[in-house]
Amino acid sequence: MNAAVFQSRLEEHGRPVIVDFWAPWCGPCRAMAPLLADLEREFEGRVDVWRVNVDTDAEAATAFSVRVIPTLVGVHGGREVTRMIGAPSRTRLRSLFEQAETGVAVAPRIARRDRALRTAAAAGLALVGWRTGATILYIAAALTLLAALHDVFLAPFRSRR
Amino acid sequence: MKFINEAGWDRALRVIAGVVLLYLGWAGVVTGTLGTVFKWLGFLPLITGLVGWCPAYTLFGTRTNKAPQ
Repeated sequence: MNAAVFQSRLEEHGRPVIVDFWAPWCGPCRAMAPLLADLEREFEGRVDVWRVNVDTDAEAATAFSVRVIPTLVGVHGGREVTRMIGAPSRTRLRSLFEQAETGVAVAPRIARRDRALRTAAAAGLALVGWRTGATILYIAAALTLLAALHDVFLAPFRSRR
Repeated sequence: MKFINEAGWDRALRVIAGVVLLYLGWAGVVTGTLGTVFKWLGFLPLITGLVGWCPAYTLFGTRTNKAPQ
């Protein structure tokens, strides 16, 4: 499909769309398919899912600068709101649907469990630092606490929410 | 996220082990060469636990957490 046609179809479409860029030879795409279909049913009537085979619709993929698959793009009112690269967890995929539905991109946050683990580790390190007087442990505790409180810090290591 | 290859219990265990090793090393409970090893080796399970990614798992192609569902 021509890129301009694809874009105009997205703009004319009345509902938010999740564009799933995939290919039949892509293992993660196939692994993610049942989960995507599940959420498609859950959001039926609110968010539509369009599947774009990058082998046959390369122009559409180029229009969205898709270089890796699977890539999921959340579109609201014809405009890209958010995207996810790789096979996401159910929680992250639901978040993608919600963002496409509302048209509001939500900044990713670290998992609550991660935050708790990091906070506990920081407390443990501070305690050991206090007991031993080792400055390096205070520094480690401060860095760990920063990682617990700051959502952007250690962003590549974000896990499931 | 696929990057994370440790399960929750694995991560918690590593963090606890790391803090314990650091305590044993820095508090002088264990002295000598082993104490010095604990002082620095403790950071290894601590960091891998906090990050959720174990290089050794990647090397051996194993993981303790299940794939994203």
